[in-house]
Amino acid sequence: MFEKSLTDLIRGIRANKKNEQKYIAACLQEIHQEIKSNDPDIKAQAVSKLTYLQMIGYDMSWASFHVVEVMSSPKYSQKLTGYLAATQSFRQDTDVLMLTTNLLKKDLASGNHLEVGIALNGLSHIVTPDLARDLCQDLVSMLSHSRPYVRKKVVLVLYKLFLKFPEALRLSFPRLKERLDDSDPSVVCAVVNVICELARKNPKNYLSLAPQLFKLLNTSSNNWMLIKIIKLFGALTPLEPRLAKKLLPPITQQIQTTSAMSLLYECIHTVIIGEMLTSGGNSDALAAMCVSKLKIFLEDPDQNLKYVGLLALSKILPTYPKLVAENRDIILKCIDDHDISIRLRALDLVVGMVNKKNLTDIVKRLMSHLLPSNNNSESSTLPSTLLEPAYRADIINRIIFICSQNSYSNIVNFEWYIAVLVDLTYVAGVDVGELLTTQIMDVGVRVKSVRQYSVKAMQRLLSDSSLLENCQFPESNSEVLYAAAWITGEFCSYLETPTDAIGYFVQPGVTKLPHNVQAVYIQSILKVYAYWANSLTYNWDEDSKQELLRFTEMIKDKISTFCSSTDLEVQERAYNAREIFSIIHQNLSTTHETTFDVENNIYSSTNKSPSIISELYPLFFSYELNPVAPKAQKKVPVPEGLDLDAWINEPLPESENSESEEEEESYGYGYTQKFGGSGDLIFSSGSGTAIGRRRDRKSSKKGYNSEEDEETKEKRRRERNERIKNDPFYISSTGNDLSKHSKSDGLSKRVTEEIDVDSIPVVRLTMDEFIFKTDKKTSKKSKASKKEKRHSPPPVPPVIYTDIGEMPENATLSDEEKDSTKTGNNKPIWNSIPSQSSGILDVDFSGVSNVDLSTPLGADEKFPSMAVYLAPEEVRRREEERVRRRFTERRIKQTQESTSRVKKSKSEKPKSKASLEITPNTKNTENKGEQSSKSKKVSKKKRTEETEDRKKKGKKDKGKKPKKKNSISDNATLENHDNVVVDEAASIKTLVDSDDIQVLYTLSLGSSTEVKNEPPAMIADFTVRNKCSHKHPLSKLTFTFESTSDIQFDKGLIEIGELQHDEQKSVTIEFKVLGIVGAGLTVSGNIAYEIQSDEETKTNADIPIRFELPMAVFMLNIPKITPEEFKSCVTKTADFPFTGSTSIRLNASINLIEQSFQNDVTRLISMATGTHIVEQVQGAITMYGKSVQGYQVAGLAKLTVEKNIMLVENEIPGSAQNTSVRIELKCTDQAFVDGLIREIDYLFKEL
Amino acid sequence: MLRFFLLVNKQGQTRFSRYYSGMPIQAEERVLMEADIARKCLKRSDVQCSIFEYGQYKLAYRRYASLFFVIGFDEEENHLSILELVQAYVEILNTYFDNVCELDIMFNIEKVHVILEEMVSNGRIVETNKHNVLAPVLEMNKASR
Repeated sequence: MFEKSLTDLIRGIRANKKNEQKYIAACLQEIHQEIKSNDPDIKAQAVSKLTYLQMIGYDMSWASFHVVEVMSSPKYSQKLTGYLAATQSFRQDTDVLMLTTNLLKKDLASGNHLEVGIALNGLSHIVTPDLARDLCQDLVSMLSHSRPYVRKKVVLVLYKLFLKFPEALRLSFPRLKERLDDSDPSVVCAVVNVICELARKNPKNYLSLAPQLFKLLNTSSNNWMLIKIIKLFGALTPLEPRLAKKLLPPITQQIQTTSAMSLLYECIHTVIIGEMLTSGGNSDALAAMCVSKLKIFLEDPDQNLKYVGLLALSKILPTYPKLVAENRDIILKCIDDHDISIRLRALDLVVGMVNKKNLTDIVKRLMSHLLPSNNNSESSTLPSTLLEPAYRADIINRIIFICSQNSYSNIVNFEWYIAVLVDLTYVAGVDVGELLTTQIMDVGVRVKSVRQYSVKAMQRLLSDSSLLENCQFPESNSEVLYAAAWITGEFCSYLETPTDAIGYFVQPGVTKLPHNVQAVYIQSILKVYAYWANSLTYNWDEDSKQELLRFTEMIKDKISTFCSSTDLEVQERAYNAREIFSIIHQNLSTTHETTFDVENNIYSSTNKSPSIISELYPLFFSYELNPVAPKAQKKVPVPEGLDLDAWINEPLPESENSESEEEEESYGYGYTQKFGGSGDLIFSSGSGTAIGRRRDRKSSKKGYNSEEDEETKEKRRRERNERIKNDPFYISSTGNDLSKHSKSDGLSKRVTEEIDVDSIPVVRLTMDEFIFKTDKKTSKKSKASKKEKRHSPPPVPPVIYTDIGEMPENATLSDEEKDSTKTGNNKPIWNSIPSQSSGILDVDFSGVSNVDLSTPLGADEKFPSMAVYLAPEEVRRREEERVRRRFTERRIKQTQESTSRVKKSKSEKPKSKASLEITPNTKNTENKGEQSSKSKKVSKKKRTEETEDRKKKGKKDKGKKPKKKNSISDNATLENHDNVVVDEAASIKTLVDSDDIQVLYTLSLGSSTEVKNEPPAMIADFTVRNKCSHKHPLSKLTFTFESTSDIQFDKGLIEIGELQHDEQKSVTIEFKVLGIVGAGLTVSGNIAYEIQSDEETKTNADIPIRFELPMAVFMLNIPKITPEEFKSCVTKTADFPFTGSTSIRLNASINLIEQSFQNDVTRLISMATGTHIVEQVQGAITMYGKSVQGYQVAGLAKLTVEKNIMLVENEIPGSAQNTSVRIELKCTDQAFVDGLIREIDYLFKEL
Repeated sequence: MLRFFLLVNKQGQTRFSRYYSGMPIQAEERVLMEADIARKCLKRSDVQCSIFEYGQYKLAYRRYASLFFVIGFDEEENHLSILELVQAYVEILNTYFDNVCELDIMFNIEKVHVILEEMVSNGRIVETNKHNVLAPVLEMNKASR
């Protein structure tokens, strides 16, 4: 009463903006309480509030069970709330989903199409593979539901079902296909939708539908559906090129005429991706038309059209680059568009449009996007996204891509390109240093003519102190200094002043550069120095010597700063360089001394440069570095006499036939070498000796074998195994480790085993474990095929498998995985379903795309029935059934006893008190007799009027209630009420009432006595009447019924034949109810017939039919039992383990209510349940009945009147709001009692 | 297919959300994503197109007063028809609520869901006819009254 409604909650959140969290926390607390409430309204409200909170980011997974409770509410609005909450919060792994199977089954079978709609919507969100399997049959049979609204939704849900349970696709596809011819356009649209989706995954299956779809394409005017159909054809045409030809006229027409841009776009898109341009006859004209239409898109002020236009053009680019190029101007304009998305799409196109002529222009435009834009007015409107690093990086990547593609074929002036690259270094603002570095170096190496210019440009970079200062920021791209240094060093001959260059390399701050750059710096110092010093020697004099000396000393000092680098590479190089410089320095100064000493001030005479300088030069510049052509490696001629297949070593000599495993061992060794890739290492160290030893040993082999019996071998193996455990080298995959391992093993072996050390070859150790781990079969087998092996390349060595343990298998697996992902990438776009790491919006289509629809259905392919899979409640049900059977058995015994006892007690105590605290009232008992006879009369009388009355009844307000027959107040309504109070079970009901045909039916039991352990048989009588308004005869009238898991027809097809106007025929059909007799048992089928309006024209009609089996129909017509019998029966509660109860609220005035209760209400209840009234007292009745399966039902209905004083004062005296009838049923079957309760509810709701 | 349908206001608050094939596992993650989308939409000016890439999906959005109607969808969908769907949806809401505003959507979230459910099922556009969409919704209103 004081709970917050959803509206209150939303208002509250708005009112508490400042402490929203706190407020919501308080609300959640309340919801936690409310959701456990017994009042369904409060519970539903709590769930709806929770759903709202879930939307704004709160967890509601804890409430899943309560959501299911609300879902199962009989109230429509609550059901809606429940399903909505479920769709918003359930996931595939929500455990309560298992509980929803029967609920969904029930709701899907509901007579209310809106309820079915809710269930279908809900199912489409929450369906799991299990649900899909259990419900697919129900859904497929609903494809012929009478309401298009339901059919439409079923079709759409089926698609989701196929994804979860691919087998269903094959089974239901024929039925689904039929719906393409549905009379309702929205159903057809839904089918097209589903097939379109299916065809994307596996178009082959749906080629056969092409004619039908083609017809729709030509006839439909629904643009939404046309889009789908055209899309669908886009997927089909690549498989069937002839289709393209057929499709061209209608699609061309659509392109020319349609005003809907989306449809136009779809047509063009399909023409492109459907490969129609390549297969059609006048494809060029079509392509031209497409491009001209796309031009309209591009010129449209609507940015969205521009965007999709560019998108479509980029798809046409690979096949018709010329046509795209015609629109170059517009596309180039788009590069400067305000919208970044459009720019990027335009850039895609530009990349494909670049040629020698326009390259510089395009690059200039792109460069202008990167430059800081503060100069013109246009820039101020540019979105800030232009400064986004991702965009900038993208632009730079594209610039470099378009320039470098096809080996720089578009670049005419490489100096320009180098300048661009240098400029990019400065303007990039993003980390593209590595890319620029490789580009600069690549161009520098490949293009000789540009080297001089690049060296100059690199000097500029090297001298720029800003690069050094900001080198810790990746955006500064100081990495290009790597390229700058390398180019300067490598091509130092172009340097004007080499000493300056060296100065740049050792300027302060270089040690802050990345280590790899520093390493290049040091190397470059040496190179430039070598070049420069060498150049000095051509003109050697004392001055140059002094200069060299001074300079060398300076560098030696400066380079010391590198020596303290933390990077080993830099440190090593620095020490090397310093050492070289100090050697030179020493050399120079000593030469100086000697010359000075010997010649005595005559320097000029020793005008010879020290050899060390001229020797330094060739170290770096003996050969010119040249780029290697891509195919160069292939062209290298094979040297004569090189045979890679030949043995490097002679194969081991054939040994005697007494050859043991050792022979194999040596093979193993050889293989290991090869496999490990480091064979040479082992070879040089051990193999040679091993072979030698082998030969030595061979003479004593026999002795060795006999000496070393199985026991010692085994012991050795065990020891070895122990050792291996702790050997860090043992588990290794690389050849290096392998060799180490065999060596170290060899050593340890020698240490531990002193006996016969010499006879144990190193190789043997590897082999030892091979034998240990593999079975001997392998070795024997290989022995048998030994000869062969020697001359053929060795197979995969078994040693590797044993040696590395399980590793190789895993390794191969991962390789395969890689392969599969690769092939996956080659699939069409739609197959690469996006999957995010967090699993957001993940859909698995693999199942559906593997389904083959081309082969016809086999007889053994059937929808899975529930029997295959046991839902938890199914398990419970079975368990109950078992318990029930036990009860029944016991009861049989007890009834036998009790009947004798009852008889006894009757004679002793004729007036024993009735059970259930009802005081027996003899008067009422008399009344009861009248009552039932009256009702029988009524039922007979009214049967014929039933149909019409029921219609009226349906329209009546729900506020109406049963009243006493001769109540003066409302006579007119009373009559109608009487009609309701007809024996529901045996009444005639209307099944179909259309313009042509009327079908009435009655249901009855197949047997009049109890039948245990057998599915109950039912008889349905149908009366068909031709009421065709034009008085045409109906022909080929047939009834078809579908056997389901619940209901089985012996003969599901009944042919009636012809029916003249106003003629009436009756048919009877029998069926068995296999399923659990409970709520929602429905029979469905079709009535098909032809109307012969005149001799020529015939109209086919196919009406789906569907009716529920009311529980009361299962009740037997048993003789009435006495209150005493009833009492003795009911007091043994163990016999009635299952109960159900409901309350019915009555709105009649207080003075009428008791009469009404005694007459109408009680009758109604007993009829709904198929029970008879045992005893009737003031305000209460007891009932008893027995079903054909032998279930017993005992019931008590009590009238409770709670006078609400507050209300009485305000309202008409005598009226009461809280008058209700409480009905409690006891039964021997849970499902049965549930069904009965539901029907009582339903019956009273209808009133 | 459509991946999600979002209504976010200028403040980045979610007013309505519907996901068609799962959603971010964590609620926080989802809220962050929705706010991020709102930010991205807000950033875009009128002269920019209403389609842009967002992660692995494309987003199409339209702005009506203070509300952004955003749809996330796969590349293969017809981009223009998505925009048309937004328009159709807003028109239908407008008819149903008689000049729809943010508050209408907030306080009638269940109805907004029901209407969308009629138009989009499983992430496929199934019905865009105003009458066909609203007829069952009105019928439901009657039934739940």
